[in-house]
Amino acid sequence: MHTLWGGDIVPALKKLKDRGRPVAGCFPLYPPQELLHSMGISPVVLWGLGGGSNKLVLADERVQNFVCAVGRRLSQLVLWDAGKSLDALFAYNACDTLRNLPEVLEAGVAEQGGSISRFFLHVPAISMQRPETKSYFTRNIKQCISELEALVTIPYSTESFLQSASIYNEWRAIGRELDIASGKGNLPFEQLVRFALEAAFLPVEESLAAGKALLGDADGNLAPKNAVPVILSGIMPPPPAFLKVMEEAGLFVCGNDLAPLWRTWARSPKLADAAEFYADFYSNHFPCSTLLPTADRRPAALLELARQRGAKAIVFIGEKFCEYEYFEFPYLEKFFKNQGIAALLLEFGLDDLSNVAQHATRIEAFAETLAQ
Amino acid sequence: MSRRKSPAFANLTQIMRDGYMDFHTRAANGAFVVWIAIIVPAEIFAGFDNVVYAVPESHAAMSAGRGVGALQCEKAEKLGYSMDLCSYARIDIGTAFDNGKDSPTMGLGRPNLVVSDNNNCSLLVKWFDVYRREWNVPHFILDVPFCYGSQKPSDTLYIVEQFKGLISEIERLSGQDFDMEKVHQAMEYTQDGLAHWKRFLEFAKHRPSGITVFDSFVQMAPFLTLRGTPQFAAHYKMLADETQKRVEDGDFPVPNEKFRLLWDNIAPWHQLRAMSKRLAEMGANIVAAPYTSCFGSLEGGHELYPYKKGDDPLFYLARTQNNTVCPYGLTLREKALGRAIEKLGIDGVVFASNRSCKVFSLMQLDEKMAVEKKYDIPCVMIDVDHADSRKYSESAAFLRLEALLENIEAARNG
Repeated sequence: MHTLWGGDIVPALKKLKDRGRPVAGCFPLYPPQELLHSMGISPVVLWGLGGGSNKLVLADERVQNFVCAVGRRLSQLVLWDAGKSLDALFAYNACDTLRNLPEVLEAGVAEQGGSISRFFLHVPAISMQRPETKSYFTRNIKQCISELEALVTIPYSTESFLQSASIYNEWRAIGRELDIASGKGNLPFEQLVRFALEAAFLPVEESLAAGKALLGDADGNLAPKNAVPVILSGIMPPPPAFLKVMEEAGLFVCGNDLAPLWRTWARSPKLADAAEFYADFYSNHFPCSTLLPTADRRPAALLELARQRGAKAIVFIGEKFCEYEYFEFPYLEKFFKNQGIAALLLEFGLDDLSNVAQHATRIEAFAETLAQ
Repeated sequence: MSRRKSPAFANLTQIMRDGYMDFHTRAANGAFVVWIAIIVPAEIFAGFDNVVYAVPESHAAMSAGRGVGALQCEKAEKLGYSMDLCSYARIDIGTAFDNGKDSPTMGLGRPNLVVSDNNNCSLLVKWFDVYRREWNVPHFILDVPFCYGSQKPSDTLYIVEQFKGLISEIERLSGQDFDMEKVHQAMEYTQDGLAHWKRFLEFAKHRPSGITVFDSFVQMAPFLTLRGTPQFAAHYKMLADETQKRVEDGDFPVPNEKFRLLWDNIAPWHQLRAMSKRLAEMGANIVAAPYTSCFGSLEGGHELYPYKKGDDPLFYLARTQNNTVCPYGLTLREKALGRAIEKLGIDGVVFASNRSCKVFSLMQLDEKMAVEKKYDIPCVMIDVDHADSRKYSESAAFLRLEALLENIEAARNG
């Protein structure tokens, strides 16, 4: 079974495939989904996988165990699927691990008699304020479009792209509203996470409708009295068992900058043709340690978020083996301590259920400190 | 004469010592100090009258070789840097924030500018950002796209534009003028040295091999800190000439060579002497590694990419930015490994799975399968960390290495 935060995702993949459009498995974190959507491709973002009891037999044959759970889990899914549901892999240079994987997975799929197309976009790791960088990126987007046109029958058009970008921007806006509602205690955080992760495997139109329905149902103050409001920061959300531990320790998640949640929803790029849209998208994205030119804005953005949501502390969820995050934690921890905001750093992967008890002890001690 | 006391090895010690002394002296006298990642083209700095550079990765490797790697790593870990981070980074951060204490080179002083790139790994950018934030020094980033095939012409031009930006930035920050003529001269020294380096590596073809990979690991140091200098060219000529003479004289590092192996990954700096000695006692010689064969080549190859007088240095330097294994993909890696196996008559491959370098390591399981299938030679994967000795077990590694040799022997005996 391939699970998404505990739920089987195979039916969702099959449903997407049955729509008759090519399905592209996109490598996290922020692939250009609007572009694929506008060209008649169903994008799925391969993250949030795990939480089940399945062993990573296929991934373990090709990927060492010191790779993060995101990389190992997506490898397991792609190799298991072997091209049955996924017609293509789409990757960009999100991190060193992810840039290395496409050929490995393509070879693994081929070995099983399947085939899968492979696309790659290089997003400049430097500021697009430099004119030559932006023109280079524009050429890359155009090149990417012409390669994708070989996979699909619908050619790129700015009109279609704008329609797709509008839908995704509306979806981001709903995500923001849900996130704020959750921060106010009107929606359980666990439900917010589930919405975000399930969105990766749903057509955006369905996810948008689901988000609207969820927002309509968000009501009542669910935040426990006397709970300490905290921000969760990191790449992936922690397992549900860990959220329960936080709740029992008297901590309430009032906000987050997790990659599939607030980092994804915080900003809707300006509508424009694909090259302009993505130059804006990647340059002015909510700060993420993997989008190198944005990383410096992270402390201020997190601090602002903490103030807006009334957070008393920050809990950093260090995705095990994510060196991008690791390099920033000492700096962030120091920054927040200087601001008088307590910070706690925990390291684990999305599917790491073995250390919940150990983390529970640290969380409880942290909560007691905050209560004092 | 012990190989380590040979003129070329003595010269290596001398030029490296002189290089660090020169760096510290000039820095103290007001030179503009740049810290660079290893693939940043150092020849560019020769275009300025008074710019000196240091290479944190080289310093970290040297620290590990001198036995202080783990000590410096622990200092970084105490500052909050995870033990899962690259050990080069931890060594360097530990050294820098302890003011060079315990460093074999008295540290690297304080830079006026740090220059990183993301071709070997994007983490270099995050690592150098640590200094930018802590010391408020400018950080220039070179963005080098990853290659799944040959470097695209548009990528080459993109990199050239960035080199021009780097030159302008140094002019602005240092107040010094840039002279391209001096870079031409530096390029010729580098090219001359590279040609001799390739000649040196060719002695691995001889049976028994004229060199071991451990020789090339040790001898690569000038690539990191002395490119573009006359010392660089002269040293590699001396090394290649000396090796030629040894081969002619029948003086081989593993005279009873029974097993010719290939190493895939960064050198295990803290284990060079112990590993080479123990392997030699078993008649095994690791004769080459893509890690040291790639210099001066294009992605996926080990042949010398020629620079001719009058060529555009920036274009050449941009075109060779993907040469160091990490910045290219599986297809190219398998091609490069295959050529080395065929050319050198390799009996088995040691894939060193390196926890500190995911970028280098993360295709090795596929490479191993491909090599075993295509060349029908035994391969083994061992766990190493290039600079943190705490993450290496000699007994576990040699258990596998011994099994590899037994497999080779068994295959020979049918």
